[in-house]
Amino acid sequence: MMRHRWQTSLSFLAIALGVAIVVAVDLANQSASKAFKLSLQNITGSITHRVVSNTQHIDERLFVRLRRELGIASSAPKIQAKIKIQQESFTLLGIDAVSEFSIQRQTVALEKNALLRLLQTTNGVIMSGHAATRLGLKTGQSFSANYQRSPLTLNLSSTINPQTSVRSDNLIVTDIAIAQHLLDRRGELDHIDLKLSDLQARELADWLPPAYRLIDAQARNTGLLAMSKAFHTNLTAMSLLALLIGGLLIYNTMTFSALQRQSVIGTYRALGVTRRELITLLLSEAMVLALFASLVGILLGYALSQYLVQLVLRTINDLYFSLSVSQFMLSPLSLLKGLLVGLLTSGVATLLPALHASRTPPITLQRRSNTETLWQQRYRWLAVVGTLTVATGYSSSLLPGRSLVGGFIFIAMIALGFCLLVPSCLRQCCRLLAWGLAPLLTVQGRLAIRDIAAGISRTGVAVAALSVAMATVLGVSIMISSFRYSVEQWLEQSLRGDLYISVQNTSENGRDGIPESLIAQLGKLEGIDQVAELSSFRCETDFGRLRTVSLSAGAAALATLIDPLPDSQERYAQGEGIFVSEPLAYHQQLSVGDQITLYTENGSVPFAILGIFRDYSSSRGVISLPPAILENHWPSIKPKALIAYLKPEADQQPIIQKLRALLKTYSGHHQLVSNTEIRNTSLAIFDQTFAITHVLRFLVFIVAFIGLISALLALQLEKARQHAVLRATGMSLGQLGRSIVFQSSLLGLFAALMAMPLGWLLSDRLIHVINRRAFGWSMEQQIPLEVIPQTLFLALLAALLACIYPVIKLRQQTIATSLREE
Amino acid sequence: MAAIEIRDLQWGYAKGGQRIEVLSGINLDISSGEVVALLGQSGSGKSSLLNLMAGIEPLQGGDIVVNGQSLAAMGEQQRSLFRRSHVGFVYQFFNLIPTLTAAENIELVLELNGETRQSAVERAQQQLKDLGLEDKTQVFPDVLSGGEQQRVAIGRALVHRPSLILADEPTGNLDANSGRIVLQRLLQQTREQQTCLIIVTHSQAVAGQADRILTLTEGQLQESQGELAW
Repeated sequence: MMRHRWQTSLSFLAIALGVAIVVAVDLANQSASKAFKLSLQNITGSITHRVVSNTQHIDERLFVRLRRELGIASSAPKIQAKIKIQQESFTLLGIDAVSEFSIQRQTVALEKNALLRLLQTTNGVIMSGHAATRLGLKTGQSFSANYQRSPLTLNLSSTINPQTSVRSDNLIVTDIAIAQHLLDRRGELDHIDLKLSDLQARELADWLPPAYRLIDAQARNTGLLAMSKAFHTNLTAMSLLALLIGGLLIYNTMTFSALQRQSVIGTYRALGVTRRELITLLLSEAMVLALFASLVGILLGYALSQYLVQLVLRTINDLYFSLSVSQFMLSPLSLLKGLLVGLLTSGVATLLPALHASRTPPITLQRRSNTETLWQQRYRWLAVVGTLTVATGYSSSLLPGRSLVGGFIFIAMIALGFCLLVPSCLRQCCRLLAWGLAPLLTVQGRLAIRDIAAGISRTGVAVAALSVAMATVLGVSIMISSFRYSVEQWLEQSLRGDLYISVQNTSENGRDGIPESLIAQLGKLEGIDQVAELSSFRCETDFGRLRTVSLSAGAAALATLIDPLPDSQERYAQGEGIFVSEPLAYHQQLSVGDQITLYTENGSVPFAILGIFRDYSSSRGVISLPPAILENHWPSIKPKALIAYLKPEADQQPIIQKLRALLKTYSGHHQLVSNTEIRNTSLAIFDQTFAITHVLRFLVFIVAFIGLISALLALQLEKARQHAVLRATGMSLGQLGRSIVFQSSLLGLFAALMAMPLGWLLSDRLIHVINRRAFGWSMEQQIPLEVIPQTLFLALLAALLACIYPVIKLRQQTIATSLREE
Repeated sequence: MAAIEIRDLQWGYAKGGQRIEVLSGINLDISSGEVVALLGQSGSGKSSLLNLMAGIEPLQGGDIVVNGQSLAAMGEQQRSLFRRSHVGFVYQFFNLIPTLTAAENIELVLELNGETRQSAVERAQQQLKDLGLEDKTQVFPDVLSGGEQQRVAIGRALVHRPSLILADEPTGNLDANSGRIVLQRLLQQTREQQTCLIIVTHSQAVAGQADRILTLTEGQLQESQGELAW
């Protein structure tokens, strides 16, 4: 190993990188999940139950009654909202400190001094010292924040140690009265948290007025945790593909290493070293290298995951709620997984050539060229097994099922089966190319092509690694592009209005609503054709609290229905039932004609599902109510937003100016946004969500590149004598170098060509199996044409970069020495 | 004037901090069409001398002049060009390119020398016919016998009509009958083309076919009288 320093370094790097990617993705995934759970714990704490309202808010007098009439002391009211400070998302949590002591919520336990300072400060808040340092805030300092684009002025009354009190960095705690004042929600609570015995819970459920419900806090947590599934799913998919590519890379470099020492192994065998001793010797060496490389890989992976986790959390913060990792989760399982990947793959990669070496006569072993003979016999069988594996993986993924793990297994089978098919496909590609270009090819060109096919044990593995890497990039690109296209289409259909006016300083329920006079005045504005009212609130259902929307009569539908019945729209307009979004229908296995129970202001009511509509705003689900049902069952809900449809000839800008002037005459904060702004913001969030995949794409590219270098060096080693003969025959260094570049480019080209069908297949399964099973979203597969030249370019770039070192090394080759070998 | 002139040729290598002199001041003239057998013990420097004459190894001292071209004055690129046009090599282990057919192995040399494809194909076919291998043109080396492979190697070495053929134990890996056939073909073709042939051999029978026998001992060449020196 010490003599072949470059090769040992390459093997070391390959193992370290392969392990690093697996560990990084896994750690980022684990940390994000744990942070998510921790944040939920911060918000829900150790409570057992929660009182929620069917009418979207709780009157704070209920809390007083609950304590006085039922004597439930372990209860605490709460109000919360998402705010932004310096573009960073935080959760503002309003709590009643005295009540908090009663339920002994450890996660937000405040010290008495901190509490005292909080109550003595105007608009005082408490945050973790870590967050304050990050934001550059000092105790006693006033600072600005934004709540739904309305400015707030807060005062940092004190900071606390995250490990002993507020565990999440992105949680800001204040007194409930201050929160109500800041959020303009006087007299309102979001919910009341409780610590109850079973008996107390039953008594309270009976006692509660019809507009309120008692729910199990643990069940709510489970529902919220599903939110993080999107990231977990995508990262797991990436992690599995990284595992496969990393495995191939390690295999390639380790077999190359064994190949390089084959003649020495032959000598050992000739000297009487037994098969068992030989295997033990080779495996021990490989394991020592793999152990050190894996440890370095784990460290690299740890460093990389710190960056990846921030990317994941930024997305969760913007889409769901404030979350941060104040303490990075160093999961022993992830580290062990990385170590095992490094050791096992290196072990298998060494064992196969070691077994071959132990079974081959010593004299044959001393000739490198004999290694290929075995592969030439094997590749047909590999093709058969590969075809069967791909077919089994694909056909299994077509079967009805909801298991996400199953989906991943099918995708892994497709990718693995494809790897086994690569050697055979590569041979066919070479044959076709040689046949197709026969009239144009020189002997040197034919030689370069045939050498690829002849060195299939090296080229096959390298092309498999490169094409799986490219296919991963391609598959994910197609999936994201299809997703983006579907979201754009959906936004197009959902945002049919031109201008959207909303009330900002309300809770998530929108109870305050838009003043009726504003609705009337808006309709009279010149250039406005029609005004629709949009009500939006959170509705309690058996599946958790779901966003519920309702558009006033006569307005265009919010989204198109999937496979609608002929009379769905008419029956909906007549108030005979409701529509549910696709994810809700998928996850809860609801179909048109089924019934869903909603907890209305009049108590629980079953509603018929008349249609299922496409929606990408929530992976949990959205409900759309016809105006008649909203009026009958939620009479207190007022429109939260207005949608203005302009006349076709109207100029938008003057109308916006007039509207802004009109909105200033109303109290409260009204927000006016155009259709284009909403669309752009939505797509910007979408793009940010998938920012992590760009980093992973780059890593996959690097891994594939190293795999290719390793294969080219292996080829060069095998062909050393042939190169010497060619040089002795009169081929110049330049000609031989060009031949290597040509060969490498062909490998890149073939890898890209093979990556295309696999990439398409992976994207197809990611879209129709993984995303469907994880989120319930269906989308159209869209292949952006630019990904084809991009894939070709990436593969050729990797191939060209990879041949630089082998070409340099060629210059160092001594013809006479190489001629003497073998 | 001699076709090949070797003047005060010196060559050695460093091992363990010491310089080992392999060739120390060799002088030799070879005429066109002359066949020279080169004998010597293993490690005496026979292969090194061949590599120096072929331009594979750069010269360290002295000069080799082939048809008026001095190797001492040549750089790496020039030596490559020199090899492709002036030298033909026949190896003990044939060293055919396994992924090229018999004909392509020969075409490759012509292609390197700038021959058109059509001409290269025709000349390669003719060369194989002359060597009695007309039915093996599209066959890959792995299905040819050792003797057939060596005949293809001879075709490759001669097809571009080089000034110098260097054969490193050309029959060393063949049975007696195949060896005899191969040697006959090699001698016949070189004599027809008036090419200089230098054969490194351990075989007295092979050496006996040469016009001159030289023995390399302690870095010096000695003329022999048809008998092996050991």
